[in-house]
Amino acid sequence: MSGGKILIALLLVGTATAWGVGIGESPSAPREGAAAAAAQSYADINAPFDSKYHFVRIRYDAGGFGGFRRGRRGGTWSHDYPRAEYNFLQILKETTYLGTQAEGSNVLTFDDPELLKYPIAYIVEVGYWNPSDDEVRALGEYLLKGGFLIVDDTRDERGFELRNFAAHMERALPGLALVTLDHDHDIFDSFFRVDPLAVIPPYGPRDAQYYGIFEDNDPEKRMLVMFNFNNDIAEYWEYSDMGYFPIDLANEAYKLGVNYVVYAHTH
Amino acid sequence: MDRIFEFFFKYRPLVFEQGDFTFAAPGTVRMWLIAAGVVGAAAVASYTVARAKSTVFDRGIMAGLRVALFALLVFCLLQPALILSTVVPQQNFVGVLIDDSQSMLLLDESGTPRTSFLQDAFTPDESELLTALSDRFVLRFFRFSDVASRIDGPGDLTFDGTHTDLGGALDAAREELSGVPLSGLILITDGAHNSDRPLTESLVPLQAAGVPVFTVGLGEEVVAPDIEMGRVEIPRSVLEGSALVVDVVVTQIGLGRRTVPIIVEDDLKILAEETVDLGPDGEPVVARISLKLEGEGPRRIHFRIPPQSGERVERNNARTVQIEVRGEREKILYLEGEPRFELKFMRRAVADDENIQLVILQRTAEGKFLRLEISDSTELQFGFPASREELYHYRSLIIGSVEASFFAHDQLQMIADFVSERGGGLLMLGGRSAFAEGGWAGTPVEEVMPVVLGEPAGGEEGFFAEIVVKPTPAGLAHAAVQLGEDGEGVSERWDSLPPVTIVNPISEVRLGATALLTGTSPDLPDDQVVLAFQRYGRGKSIAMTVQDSWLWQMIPALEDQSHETFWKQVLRWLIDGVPESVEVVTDQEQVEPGESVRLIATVGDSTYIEVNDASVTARITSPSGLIEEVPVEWTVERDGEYVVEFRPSELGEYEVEITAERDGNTLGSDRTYLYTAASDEEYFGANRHTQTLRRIADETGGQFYTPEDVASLPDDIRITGAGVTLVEQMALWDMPFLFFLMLTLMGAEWGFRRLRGLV
Repeated sequence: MSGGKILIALLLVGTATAWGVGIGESPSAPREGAAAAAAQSYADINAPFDSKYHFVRIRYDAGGFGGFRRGRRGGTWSHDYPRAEYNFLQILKETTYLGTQAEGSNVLTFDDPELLKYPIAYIVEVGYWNPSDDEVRALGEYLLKGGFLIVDDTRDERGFELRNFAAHMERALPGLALVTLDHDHDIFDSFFRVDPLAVIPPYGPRDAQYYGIFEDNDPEKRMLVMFNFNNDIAEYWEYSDMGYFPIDLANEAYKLGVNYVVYAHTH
Repeated sequence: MDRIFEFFFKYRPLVFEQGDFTFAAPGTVRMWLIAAGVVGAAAVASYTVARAKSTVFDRGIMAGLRVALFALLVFCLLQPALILSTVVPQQNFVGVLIDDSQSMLLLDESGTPRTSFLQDAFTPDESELLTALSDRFVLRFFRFSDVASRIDGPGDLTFDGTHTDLGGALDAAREELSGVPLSGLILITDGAHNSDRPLTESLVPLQAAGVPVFTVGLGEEVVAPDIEMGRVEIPRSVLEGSALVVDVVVTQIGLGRRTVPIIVEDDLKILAEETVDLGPDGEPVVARISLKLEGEGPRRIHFRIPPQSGERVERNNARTVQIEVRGEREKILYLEGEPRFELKFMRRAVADDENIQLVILQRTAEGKFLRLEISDSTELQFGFPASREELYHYRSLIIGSVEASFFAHDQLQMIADFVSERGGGLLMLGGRSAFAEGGWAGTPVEEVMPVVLGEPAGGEEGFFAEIVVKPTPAGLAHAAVQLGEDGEGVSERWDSLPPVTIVNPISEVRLGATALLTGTSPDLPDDQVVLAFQRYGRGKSIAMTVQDSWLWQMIPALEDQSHETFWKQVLRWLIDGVPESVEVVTDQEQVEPGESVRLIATVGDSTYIEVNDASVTARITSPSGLIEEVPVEWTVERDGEYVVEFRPSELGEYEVEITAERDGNTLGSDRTYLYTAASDEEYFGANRHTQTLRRIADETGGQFYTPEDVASLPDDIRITGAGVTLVEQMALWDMPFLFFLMLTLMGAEWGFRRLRGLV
């Protein structure tokens, strides 16, 4: 996929904005402050199951860091929501043959049985993630059954994010550890050939690292979790059509996302 | 019955069957007698005009009776007789063929073996039958079981034969006695015929030669109480670890409808145990046993039912079958037109199956493909195979959500030929670009599919329905659809699975296809065909119309293995029985040392076109390690078929490896196994096979006897007309029946007169 093609796709992404999606909103989401929002239920705005690929963002309680609230000023789980997924889904739909539900996305919790219909899930800011026992148990089962978790938006300077995530993953998948991925791992070549180091973290130069969790801790076996540490590719997705970032950088971030989804559909 | 007939008619029915009727009185005498009879009858008939107290009716009856009596008298004076050809004593031969197989030692209800008849009938200087035969004929004795040979007399019999070939015995005797005047063959046996060769092949030459066969049936018509394991239906080879469903046919007589266990074991351990409810007397029932075989190589599997109290024959309660467990890694090509979870989860389901290599060609975008599980970097480097050689390299093909227009027309024809000519398995999966929705109607592949394609459903939006899947009655019995380890509770297991979705509404299977799974939905007017298959040419095709069977993996409990089990079984089924370009089989799974066995090789080139000019060699390794190499010759009758016959001499397992070459290039090789062991075949169908023996006698002009009525056999052979014969006239005028008839007619007239008051 050429950079030009991605750019064309980006122009299409602009249409998402044209639908009236504002920052921190979804096209059909009830406005913040409405009764439905207070109930913190996304069932009525989630795209219904149709066996296509749905972007599923994991909602979680971050304790003192925003709780379950939605929106940019809400819980940490919703960082870049929903513009990032909407833009990404347009790119995915335009660049691949993947049957994609690009008209909406889904927000679910780990312990929601509905999550089992969507074998790829996305979670951010896991430094603030504080899952309950039910969520951890459900996550473990989800991954062992065949689910795939993409973890994004973490920063090294906070010092605790990697440890927090690793600790909770140990609860979910006892004995399975984060494994540093080689930069020639198949996931970086599943659709685009991507140099992961070319995706410079949007918050300035950092030592971006990529981790995976594998069945039996064996990198030759199935990957359960893809962890972008010290990076935030969805930040690029969110603002790719607003000129905040160079197109080439946004392109690389999209490529990584496409690769992750294609990889998770085939491995 | 024959005796009553003989009492009234002087001779047995056979004499009347064989003889030609005639009147022995000279011609002129005959004419005078007939004339006198007519005049006499007219005179007697004149009674009808005489008047007295009688009515016309009375006179008519009396005149009729008197005319009948007069006619009978004239008939006798005409000297009726039968003309027969009877053999000249001691100038004709008779072959006596005696069954020398193990079943002759079986005891009847009173504890007497079938061989006791031989002692009674063929003890020199004591037996009337032997004496009567010897007086009339020159006797030649033969023994037979699987082969026949001349013997001096019944004293040479050993009763250790493990097969019975009635046809072979008749052939051998006919050929041996072809140079002498032969009046007939006497076949003494229980009638069990456990050779594969049809009897007709042996009866036609006997009919042509005019040699009657007189059969003497020994043993009881029904051996009871008894259980018999009729047959075990099992494939000759199976992929290691595959689920097998084996049918075992069991029949009981005289034991009632009880439940008995069937134990399945190999030489080391019990593999399975199942119970079977026996049917009514003589009605076979089928027990279905699920098992898995591990460990590569030839295996002998024993099926047995423990002997029941009072059983007459215990050795027919067990069967041993041979099966080759194949350990090779079979290649399946899976072409998927769009990245989707169905591929990921199917791939994962068979990831630990060492016998399946699921080669993936995943189209991810326009002209962009991802190759997975390829053997080397050149495999599928140009995408989907464009030549038969490349495609036929795979044993099976899975086509996912790919539109038909993806393929060139030649490729579509090639896919159809892959099934029909190469004998490969084709599995088509549901998806938005599959079946009718993918434009497959009207393509060469549509014919191959086991389902009927309609119009594309749902328009531009597409069709979508959630369905609940359940097995059909055929599915309940099919190995691919069994989800449990032990094959039990199939319906319950399917009921426990979550709904899945379809985008290709299909409600009909092709004629000859079988649906194994169906689905129901409020959005569908008819049941959805979920899993169906059919044989197509040399191969088979399967349709699996759901698009997200992976829900069976994600939604049930973590420990639920239904999804993995299902796909492992379906993919193993897909590759099961797919032929190689060079293959060898034996015409029998098990033989006895010295018994002949045919090696049949089929040879094709890399495109599976039969090759007739190959150089084919069989390398046969005996149980003791002796190696023999024999050439295998083209049969001429069938393209690509090569056959050689050999006789194993050792007990145990023979390995046969054939190699086919042409122009110095190896076309391929294959291996099979043959087991040599003593057979229990004689204990199956151990009753007297009267129908077979009657058929042999009827079709050759002979007679069927039992030990009770065999005494007339020597006289019967005498009048069959075969051999050196004389014409003999046998008078009939003095038949007691005629005398009784005369008395009856006279008595009837007298009685009638008394009744009517005319005396």
